[in-house]
Amino acid sequence: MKAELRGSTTTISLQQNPSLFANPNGSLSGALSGCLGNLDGACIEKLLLHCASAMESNDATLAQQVMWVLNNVASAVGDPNQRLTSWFLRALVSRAHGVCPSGMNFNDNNALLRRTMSVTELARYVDLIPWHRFGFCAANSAIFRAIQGCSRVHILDFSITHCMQWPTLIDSLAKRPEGPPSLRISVPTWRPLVPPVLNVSIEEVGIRLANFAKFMDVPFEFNILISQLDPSMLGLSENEILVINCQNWLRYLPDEPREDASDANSWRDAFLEIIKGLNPHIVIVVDEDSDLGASNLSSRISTCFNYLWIPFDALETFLPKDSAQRIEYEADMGHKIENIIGFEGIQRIERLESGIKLSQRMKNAGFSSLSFCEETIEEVKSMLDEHASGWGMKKDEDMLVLSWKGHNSVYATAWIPCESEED
Amino acid sequence: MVEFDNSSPIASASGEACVSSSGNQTAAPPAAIAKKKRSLPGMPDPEAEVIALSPKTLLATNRFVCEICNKGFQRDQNLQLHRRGHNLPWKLRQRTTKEVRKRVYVCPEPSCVHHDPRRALGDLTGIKKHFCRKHGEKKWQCERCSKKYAVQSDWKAHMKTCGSKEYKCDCGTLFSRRDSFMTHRAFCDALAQESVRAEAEAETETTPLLPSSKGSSKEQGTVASSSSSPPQPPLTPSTSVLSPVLSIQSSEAPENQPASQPQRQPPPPPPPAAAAGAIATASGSSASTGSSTGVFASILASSAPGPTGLSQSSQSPSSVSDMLCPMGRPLPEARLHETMSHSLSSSLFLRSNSSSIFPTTGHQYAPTQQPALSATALLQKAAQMGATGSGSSFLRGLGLEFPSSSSDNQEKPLVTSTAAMWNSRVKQEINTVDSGLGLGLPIGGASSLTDRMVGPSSFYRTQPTTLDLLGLGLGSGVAPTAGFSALLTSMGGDGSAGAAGAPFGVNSGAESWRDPAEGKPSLF
Repeated sequence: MKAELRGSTTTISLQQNPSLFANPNGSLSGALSGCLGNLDGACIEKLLLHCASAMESNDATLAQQVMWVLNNVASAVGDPNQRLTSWFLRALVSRAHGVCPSGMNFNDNNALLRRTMSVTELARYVDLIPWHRFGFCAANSAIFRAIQGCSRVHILDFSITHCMQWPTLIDSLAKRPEGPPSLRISVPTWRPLVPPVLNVSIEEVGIRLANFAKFMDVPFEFNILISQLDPSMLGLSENEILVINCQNWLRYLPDEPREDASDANSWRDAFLEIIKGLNPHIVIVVDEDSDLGASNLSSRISTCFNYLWIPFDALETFLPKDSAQRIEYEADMGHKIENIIGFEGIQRIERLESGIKLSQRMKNAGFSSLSFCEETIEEVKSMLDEHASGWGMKKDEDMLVLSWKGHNSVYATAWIPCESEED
Repeated sequence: MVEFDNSSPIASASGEACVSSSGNQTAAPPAAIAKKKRSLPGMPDPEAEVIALSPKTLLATNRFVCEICNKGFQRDQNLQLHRRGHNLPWKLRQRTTKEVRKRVYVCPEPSCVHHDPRRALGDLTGIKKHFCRKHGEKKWQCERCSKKYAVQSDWKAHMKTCGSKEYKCDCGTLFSRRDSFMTHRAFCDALAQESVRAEAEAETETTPLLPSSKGSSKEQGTVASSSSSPPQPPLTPSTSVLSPVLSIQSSEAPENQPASQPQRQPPPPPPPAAAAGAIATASGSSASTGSSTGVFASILASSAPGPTGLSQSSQSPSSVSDMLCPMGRPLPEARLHETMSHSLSSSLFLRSNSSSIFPTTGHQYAPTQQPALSATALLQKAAQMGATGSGSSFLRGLGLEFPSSSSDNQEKPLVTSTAAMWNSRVKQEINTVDSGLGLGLPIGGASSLTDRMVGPSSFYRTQPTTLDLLGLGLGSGVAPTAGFSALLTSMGGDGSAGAAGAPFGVNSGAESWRDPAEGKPSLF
């Protein structure tokens, strides 16, 4: 298949694929039309979309051409657009391979575990930019307030950052005027196979956390749950209250209706139902504020490109081009991009949902939202003040949203089951 | 400066500065405002008015000057209020009653990312600061650390914290913020070592162990070191409070449990986990090994369905003491195994440097590395590439083979011929692919693609072990839903283990998406 443009290409494509001829954009010139001059973000996005649509319409030639162009733009150590492009291109290649059996595995275990980090490296990782710290701060502050006066607390921690959230909570509980509560933190054995990946087990994390709590004189217990998630199994004691913390978690629960369930509930909704049934005192939900679960590939590409430029831009602002930490952080986002763009069905595990949609889902599931109080907002605000300018915070009804240069990045919400017996 | 907005995401409307016509300004007249109305995908408000100000406008600081005392103000409103003090006539401009449209501002610098309306900034202060910071001169400098700033408020903010508060961990690392210090401290080796010392000095008795399974304070032995340092000797059991968490490091599969933990791993199928209760027995550190033991069922299932999926061990409370015995022994072999594989992988990951888009060895692809190639130039190059046929080698390197046919073969439908080619390429030649595949794919990409080359094709044949994205415990031949089906059954109240079908019809779904070439040849 020769990739000749204009003249002969038209003839060839007419023979091959009449639809190509009908579609004025079904050629590289079409793809690049309007992109004269510099290839900026808009052009790159166009190219990505063209590549995807070429793939979907079996136009190998065009896909190849566009990939070649994208490859010229892409660079993992260039400016944010170039970096983004490199990850997107990789995702598209991954997608192509998925259909073309060529002996390559993408997004598989081995590749994922290629990079692990130590606990202290992870501690640094989560503070590289306030992306995670925002959620930690808002959640811990809300939890602290919610458990005032309680002497026994059990936290169910569903997150992907391996308990990096808890040291600051333990610290604030240690300084509580009425003394710290007895604290139990439980994590599930299962964790989605996504970065960041530790080079030690969750048990080790628990050991260190327990060690720290002991050092801070906070009675502490760490559990790893393998059993069924219901009150009797959790072993809640008499006056122990339950806190459920979901950070970057719900997006890994599939959202399609299940074929076998009688009520066609999705996994995500079923999970919410279960945790509601546990009658928690407060439920925290923090995640990335973008809708990336659409079944339409093009819309995912656009949305993803127009969302992930935010952290790439932030990293560009604070870290030099050759910073290893930055490149690793970007690689992890690249992993996410690859999953969102390169995969379908059950393999596409990253199904992000925006804060607004999530809020609606929570309300449908029988939760009512809790407002973050002024002190919490002040705490988050002063935390962001310690980071450089550009990071901001918005309040959208009861939702707090981290913003970078005004663009929404991460949302934080707090919930309580409706018609709860407790106050 | 934090842009904290208590209301809806509409930015502060200080747009008057750009449309002002106050008589007292002596600076350059405001720039022409280009009001472009476009649909802006990705933006929260596609109806927003895009405003493009000139560099002069953005850099101008105190454009409103008092005629009496020459004091300068950024905003006309502020100047008017100041004029009151001189008993001069003053007038505050009222907000117009017309409907307020959200305004977004773009950067005038064409190469800037914020030149694109979809990357526009939401408020005037923001765009001014951005322009100043990114494209302006850095006039402010910190004396202590010599960092330079273009915006005065940035400089001020920095001066507040520079050298003022510093937190130092025992390991020597310095932190400027308490939260990052605290987080580091909790997991730092220095703390672990300190508690060892404290315990050694204290020589107190351990608290008696209560046999109850709930909320009792159980002492945990080892403080495991990070994988980089040699494993420390196990601590006396009085170190930390920890419920019975097993320090079991499972490698790839439950069957590989080290011999020291034989009783923890009952051979599958495990008994119902109903008795597990609050006792946390973590068998299979799925997170770090990514093995098939990471299953959803661990949260929600009442029983482990598939044999290979779970390495669940449900214990009755009476085995608490059993659990404690092996805890004292670290598992250096298992950890080392992990460490080695991880370090191998990480070295594989890190070795490829993507400083050049194309590899220095191996394939010769189009030898350009100019990210700033114009679109037209790329177009031409792509056309040339196609004409000379070298383009097909580009994708062959990717493993996407195209029939290297001349135009004579064009009567064959495009799809079937290429599909046939691709189908025949099940065994990928590793040799054709260099690190980076000539794509200059980023660090992870390069090596992992190479990694992936070595593995068997998974998508096509059902080798579910490699599709363990969800840690579903894809055993051989078992539908990749071991965990999920368990989850299903538990949630559906169904007691049967593993009987539920695949959610989303995984197998069928996978096949329908990745269509085999028979019948419906599809390239992508």
